[in-house]
Amino acid sequence: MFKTILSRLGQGILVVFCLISITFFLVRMMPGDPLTDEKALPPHIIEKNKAYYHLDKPLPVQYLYYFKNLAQGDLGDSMSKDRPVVEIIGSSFPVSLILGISSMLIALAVGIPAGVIAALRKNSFIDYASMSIAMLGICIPAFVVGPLLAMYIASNVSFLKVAGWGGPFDWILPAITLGLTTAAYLARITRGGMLEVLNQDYIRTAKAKGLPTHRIITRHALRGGLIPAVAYVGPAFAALISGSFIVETIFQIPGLGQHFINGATSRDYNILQGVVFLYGVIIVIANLAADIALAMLNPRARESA
Amino acid sequence: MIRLLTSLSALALALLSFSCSEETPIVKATEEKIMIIGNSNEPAALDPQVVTGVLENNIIRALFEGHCVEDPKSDSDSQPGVAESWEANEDYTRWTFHLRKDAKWSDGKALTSEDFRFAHERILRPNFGAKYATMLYFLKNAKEYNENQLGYILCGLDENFPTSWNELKQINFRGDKNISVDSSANTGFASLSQADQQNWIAHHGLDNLKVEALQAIQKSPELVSWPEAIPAETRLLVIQRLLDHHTAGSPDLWNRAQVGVQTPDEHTVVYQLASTTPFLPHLTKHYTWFPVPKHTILAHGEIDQQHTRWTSPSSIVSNGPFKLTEWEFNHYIKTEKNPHYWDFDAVKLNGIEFHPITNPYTEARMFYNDQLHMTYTLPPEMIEYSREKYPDSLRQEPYLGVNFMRCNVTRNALKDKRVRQALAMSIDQQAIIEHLLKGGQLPATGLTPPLSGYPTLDVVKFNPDKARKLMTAAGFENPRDFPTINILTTDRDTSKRLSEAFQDMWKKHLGIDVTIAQREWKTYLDRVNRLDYDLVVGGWIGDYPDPTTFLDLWKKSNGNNNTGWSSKEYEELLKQASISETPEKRFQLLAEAEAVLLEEMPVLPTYWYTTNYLLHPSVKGWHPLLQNSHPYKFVDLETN
Amino acid sequence: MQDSNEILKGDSLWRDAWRRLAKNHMAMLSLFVLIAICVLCFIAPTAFQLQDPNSQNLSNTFAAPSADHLLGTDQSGRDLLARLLDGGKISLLVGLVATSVTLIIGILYGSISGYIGGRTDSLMMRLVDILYGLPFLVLVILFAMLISEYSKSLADIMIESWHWDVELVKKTTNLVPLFIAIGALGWLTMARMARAQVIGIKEQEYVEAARSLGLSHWKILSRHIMPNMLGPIIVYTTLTVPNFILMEATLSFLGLGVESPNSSWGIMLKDGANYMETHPSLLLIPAILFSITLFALNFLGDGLRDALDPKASKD
Repeated sequence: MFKTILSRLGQGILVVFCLISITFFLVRMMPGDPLTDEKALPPHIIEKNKAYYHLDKPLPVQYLYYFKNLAQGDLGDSMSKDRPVVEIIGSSFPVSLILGISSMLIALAVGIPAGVIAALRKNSFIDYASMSIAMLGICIPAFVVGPLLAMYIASNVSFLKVAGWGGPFDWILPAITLGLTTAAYLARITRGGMLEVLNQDYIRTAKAKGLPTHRIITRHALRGGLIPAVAYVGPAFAALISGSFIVETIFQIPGLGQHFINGATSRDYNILQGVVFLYGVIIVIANLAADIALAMLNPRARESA
Repeated sequence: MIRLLTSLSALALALLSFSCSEETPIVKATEEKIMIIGNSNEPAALDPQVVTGVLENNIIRALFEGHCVEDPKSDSDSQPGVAESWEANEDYTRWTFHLRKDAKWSDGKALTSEDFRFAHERILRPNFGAKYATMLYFLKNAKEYNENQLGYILCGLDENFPTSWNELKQINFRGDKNISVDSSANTGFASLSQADQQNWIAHHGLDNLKVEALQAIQKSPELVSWPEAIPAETRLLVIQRLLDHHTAGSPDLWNRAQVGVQTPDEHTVVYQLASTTPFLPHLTKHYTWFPVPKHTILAHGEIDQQHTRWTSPSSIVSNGPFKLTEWEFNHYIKTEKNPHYWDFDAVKLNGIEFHPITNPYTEARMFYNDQLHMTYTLPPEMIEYSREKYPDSLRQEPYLGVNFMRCNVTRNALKDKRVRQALAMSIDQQAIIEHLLKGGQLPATGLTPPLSGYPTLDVVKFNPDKARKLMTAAGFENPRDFPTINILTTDRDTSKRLSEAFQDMWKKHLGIDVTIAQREWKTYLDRVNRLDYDLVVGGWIGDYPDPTTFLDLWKKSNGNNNTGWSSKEYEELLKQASISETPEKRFQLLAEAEAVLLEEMPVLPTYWYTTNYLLHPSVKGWHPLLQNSHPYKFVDLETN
Repeated sequence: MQDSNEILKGDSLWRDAWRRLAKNHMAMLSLFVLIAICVLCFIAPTAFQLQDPNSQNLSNTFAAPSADHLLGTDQSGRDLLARLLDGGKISLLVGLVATSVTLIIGILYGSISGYIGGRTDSLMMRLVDILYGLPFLVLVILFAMLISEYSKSLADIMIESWHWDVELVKKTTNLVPLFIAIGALGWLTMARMARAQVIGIKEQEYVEAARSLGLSHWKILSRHIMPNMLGPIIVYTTLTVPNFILMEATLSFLGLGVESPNSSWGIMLKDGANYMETHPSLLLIPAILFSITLFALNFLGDGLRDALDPKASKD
């Protein structure tokens, strides 16, 4: 097991390296560059500014510069906001971390119980009701849910603001908006997983032996039934803590998600590479954690994890 | 999930019952006289000589102050800022500003004419690479210095040089980009064949050559195609001057360039201008003309060093009515009253907060819920709603900008000016404004929006009958003969809806087929710059209240022309205007130039901008201004 | 536990499944609803001569429902019903085609990776990790750039050499890159799901039995493993369809996909969200049809899952 984790971490470093390298060249292939502006700049000014970011050098040289700086923990300067990328990520990531964790908690607290109950009462009213709500959660996009919550809940409750990021109260609505879709997915996936397990022979045997239902569920069914949910949670968590552009703009949150979008639209190569680097690290860790959890839940998959 | 929602709403209702009495953020801020402003985005920087945008202007205007300050009520007047008084010579080519003696930086240090000179030198320094340096090209020799025109500065400005600049200027100093060069020439000048070397020199121009190429010319001067009038010894002397400059390590040439700014004493700044500039006081209200604290900037780096940290809250020193106290990235910027401001007693607010709210719907909601005193904008969809529910807050004011559609006149379909005129005439500007934009915009009958003293042109009119006749005259009696053309537009909602409206109107009135291509912002800009479009939705916001800010765009050499159109007649008229004796004559010539432009119609003007935003009724002293550059020192907050 | 002989007779598996599905009322109702919506979107506009979905009337914006406009008009005075059905065509196509692309690539890639296992599996999955981390918007912008060059020439070929109808060509050439883009970006998660399923199934006794019978790898994969992983995959697929339909709106805004003034449900939802306070019907009407479609799809998916899972039928 320990050896597997070590080898996966090694692969992880390689994944992040490839990711950054590919991103490095892809971002530079996009039409326009950081200095393409609505008010065209004189050529000699463009030249001077490009030189500052080494953009006047051939690509391989730029690439070497980038990794040389990266090795020293320097992700370069943002090309659209006058400050180092490390500083930008340093101020945005903690915000997204808080938001990601709280929305994940909401998703887990709502999604898993809903899925388990729906599976146990298959084709009952509760099943249809909770699955319909879950389906709504998937159908209604965040750009609708967010404004709705802001309009109808925040404007009527004094301690909730329609937008803004101050104290813990301000985490509530964005976390709900962000966690809702994840909760809905989790509910559907958990239900599917549980149904699969409840039909297995060992559960039938346990039932036949007359074990109390709650014991069957907690001791036996959950262990196998949660496998698909756990597989889903890993990447989902990575996505949640790397921020969401839509939720951040709706609730005016200084998080990480907007840099993925703004970095691309403003051709801010450095910030884009910076957030992709961070995202890559998060994905590697989250997937590894999910696989370890899966291996613990499912002895059969252990060797192939 | 149901349980969570019910318990949440129960909790909400419970809290609602006792929380109504609590004061809102705006009530509290109003009492404390702190103005909270929605400002659309995180500023790119806070250095007046680095930034280029409107949202940065909103913050910098609070922190810094130039010679003059906006009049809170009038677009044509200026209030004294750092300068107590100012005067011009007869033909407006020389302006003198007298600085007040009590002007100070926020650290208490005296502000002198040297800070202005330093600021102007800094923004024009070729190595600094300021994006908005062009705003100072009004100064004599500023463009030449900023572009590092070595030949002009080293030889042309030297009175002892044997040949005068009038003759020297025929030499190819600046390079001719129409001459193509072998792109593999990066390997080294010496390795090129003689013909390639000649091309290389002609392409780059003498000003931009490195030592290696100059030495080669020294050996064989025939590499350069010299004008006949230049004697051989002068040719060698020119090359020698350039070489000496480079071998001395290419020192900065500020001291030799004679840029038109002089500081005869600590409290006087004199500007020599390149042409007639009656609107210079307006220019000094633009942040590019603001003074910067020489002592602070030099403590953080060299004069020509960008990206130093002198604007961080702990270091920044400014001279405006407010000073920076907090700057949380992407979150907020807070300022408070500057105790060293010369007019401290006149400032009524205790502070201003700026919030970078990118989503205009979020911003409107924050305003409705009493979290903001002012929004940056208001989407068209929310205008009716706001008028109904918040009639005291809705502001719709004329703005110095014009929306237009560029035509790529190099495309066969749009070569004929009658086609372009027909397209313009079949746009129902009024309907677009009334039903689609809803912001009280004005139909653009000309290009330059109404400006005081300028005879606004009244040319572009909705006239589908005449439009069809023009199309017939251009050989398209049957609309099916007209090729399908494409409108390039951005992913912004308004430009998409505008394009759809144009498409529909042209289909209805002219019977022609138009497609729409939506592209993301930089792809769009890239295609416009490369002339890779037929028609493109665009606009322009004036930098200063003068027609030239709109008319200069369409000069052949202007980097923003992007239509493929140019006219000798047009440029001649603009040139005449720049040397005319009186402001009245100048405006008349500019209007004549604009008439030429509107006859040729490389751009189809659609509407003149307004700003639509929400302003809380507690804000006092806030009057409509054409550039929306409101002087904060006159603003007050009162609890109603 | 089923025996391997039963599924070797492939036909009866599907026939059984269909019989079980026909008994599921919810699933059959859903199937009916889906067919009805497809008929409405694809046939009704021409059959009933509905209005031109793109013709504007700026003096009649946000009109209330009337005899002229059954569902009223939108922000540019266009008939909402006509737009809704016209947009439905695109969204249903996106849902169908993009999902199929995703399914095919994802299942193939994931199954192969999971079935082979070992180093190949690691390599293939790490490749998925890398692709997963690439910034979505950058890929879309690049794709749009490449496509605008390519589709221009493709359209020219189709119009000039094959004498295709211009209108039809325009619509097809714009949608193909959209399908490719969504498929290309959407298969990653599907591949992960498929791999996890295969790893679980390949250790089962009946697969081992098939192996000992000497069946080829491809036969084992296609006959014994894939049919058994269909259930969870179908459920997951129905969950991703709304994502794809909404993703289409984002891509269209960036120049990949539906060209203005044509519409789609995704675009109508996005536009409608801006009128939430002022004209909620612009959001509600497309949202309702969108939700009904996806609910139906979802319940049909659930029914299919149950029908394909012989174990469940024993209850």
